[in-house]
Amino acid sequence: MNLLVCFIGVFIGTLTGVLPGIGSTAAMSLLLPITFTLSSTQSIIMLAGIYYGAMYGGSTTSILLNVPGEGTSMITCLDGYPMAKKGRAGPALGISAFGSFIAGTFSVAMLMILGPLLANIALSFGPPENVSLTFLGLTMVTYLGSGSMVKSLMMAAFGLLLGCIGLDIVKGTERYTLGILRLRDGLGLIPIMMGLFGIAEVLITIETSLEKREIFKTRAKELFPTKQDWKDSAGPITRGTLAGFFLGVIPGGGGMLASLMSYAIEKRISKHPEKFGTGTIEGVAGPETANNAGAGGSFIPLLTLGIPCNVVMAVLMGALMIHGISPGPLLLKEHPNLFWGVVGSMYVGNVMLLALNLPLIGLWVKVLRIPYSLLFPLIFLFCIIGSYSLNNSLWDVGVMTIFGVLGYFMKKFRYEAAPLIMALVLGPMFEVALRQSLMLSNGNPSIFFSRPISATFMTLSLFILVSPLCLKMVKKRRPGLLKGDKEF
Amino acid sequence: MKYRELVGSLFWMGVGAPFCIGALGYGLFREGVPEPGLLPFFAGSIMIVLGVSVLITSVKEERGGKTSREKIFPERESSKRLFTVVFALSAYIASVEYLGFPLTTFLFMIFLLRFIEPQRWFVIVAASILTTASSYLLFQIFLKTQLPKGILGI
Repeated sequence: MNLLVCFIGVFIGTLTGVLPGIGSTAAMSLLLPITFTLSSTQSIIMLAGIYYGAMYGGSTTSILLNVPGEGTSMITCLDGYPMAKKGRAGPALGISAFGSFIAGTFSVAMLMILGPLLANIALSFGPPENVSLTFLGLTMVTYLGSGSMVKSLMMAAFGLLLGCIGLDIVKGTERYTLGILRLRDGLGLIPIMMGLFGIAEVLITIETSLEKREIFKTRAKELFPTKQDWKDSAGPITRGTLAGFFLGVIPGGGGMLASLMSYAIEKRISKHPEKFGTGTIEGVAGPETANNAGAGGSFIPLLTLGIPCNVVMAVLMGALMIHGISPGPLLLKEHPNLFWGVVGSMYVGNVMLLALNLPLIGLWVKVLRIPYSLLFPLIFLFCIIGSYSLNNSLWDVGVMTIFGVLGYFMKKFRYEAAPLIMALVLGPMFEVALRQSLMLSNGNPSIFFSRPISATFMTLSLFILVSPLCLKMVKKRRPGLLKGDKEF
Repeated sequence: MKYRELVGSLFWMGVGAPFCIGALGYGLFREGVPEPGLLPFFAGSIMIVLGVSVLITSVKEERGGKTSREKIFPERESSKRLFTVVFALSAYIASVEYLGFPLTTFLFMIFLLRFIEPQRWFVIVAASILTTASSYLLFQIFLKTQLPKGILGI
């Protein structure tokens, strides 16, 4: 049964990765209610399958359409699409599938080695360490986001506020319920995610005319890279795997950052950097490998520390909590079946993906031909059914619609949804740990700086928060000294 | 939009302020012990302070003529499409318990396929029937989701 669930997950994941306009986060949010009928292990296996399946599938649209099916495949467009234009779509697709497989295998092996080690360390964490670690996670997400850090921080604060709606966990006080009975249980994570990622994404896509796109034809026998391709890609695949994995483990990191970093590294060390952007295979092999390594790496903080390091992991964490499981250091001890089940399924899933991606390219190309004008009402319908089935209530559909419209305007006004979701997921835990810590110290916040692990996390967080401001001041005083630093 | 950042910051400050005021009512600290209002007060204050920062930056940029002139709605039809979808979703929520899942879904599909990116009637009807039937089979029959039955009783 686990294998079947894994297969369904990676198949749906690849499908959503292939389809532009619906990312892995949206797909996982939409399909989360379906997993309620499964056991917790099967549920997480399926959702994880969707995630790394989408990583694989995203490369197809980047290469054939110049439209990234996934944000993580954005950089693949730069060289993948020119390769397709040169008639080398096959090797580009092939090397991304093989590179992804190698990276996926590496991250699974590392998860097996590092997972139990990190979980043991995290067992010694008390409430102050949990507060500072969560704070660091949220800070990193706002820092590594693609937009303004101030706006990301505002969204994280808004996520914390949304998490406060309902009954206070510690004292049972009703907060911000406005007398509405349904609000006592809070707003609900899933309808908010469906709105922000599902509805808002589709609203953005359909606001302009949905014209037909050109798709390059490729045959299965042309998919295998040549010896020279392998020789050129060996270095980028190795570097992409290592860099991607470590960037995946960092809170706020993950596939997107990993692929961008890999491309930058390859271009910098290449003997022919001028060839990047014109259809060089190194520009496809590195980023595609890195985003899969990053995807695998991001499971480590979630399963061992209980900290989702990106929004996809936040969705997975939400799924685990719905099944009554709290991810963290005790997960391995209390639910070894789940932990090792996920690890095992990831490995099997990677083999399945290799088998799916190469022979089924023809099918994915056909899927790409389905006009988006027929597809978008279907996504809306899935969102409606998904949110309704949570509690058999139209209240959740309403919440989803409101957050869909809010998410649309957030995109328009360049406010990111990821910090909001992260804060919403982590908020209740953060609040409990914060209040426990302050009770321990009799209200003295110095407790976060008096314990070594907590102090390290806090100092790091404060440094991250202050550094863009310092850079801005330096830039103002000495213009031209710093170029391309982050917008604060 | 000329005042994009200004509107955005005012909106989020407006969201943060009531949370802050409410938090004061729940209490922040009592005899060194944190109360339920502590975190919302802290988060709401961050929203207001950062909102002010965005506001000041936007006013400065506006004076310096640096603001983005990018339109909120890229095409004339964009706002119409947004309102059409919101209307369709609201109508779905309002009518599904009375009309039932199959009928409402069928009408919802027809409406979206006709008014967002108009298709031929044959395509509209065929796609609507196919989607309604397959989603009903998948969710109601196969996954045993309790979808609203409505007047048709199915």
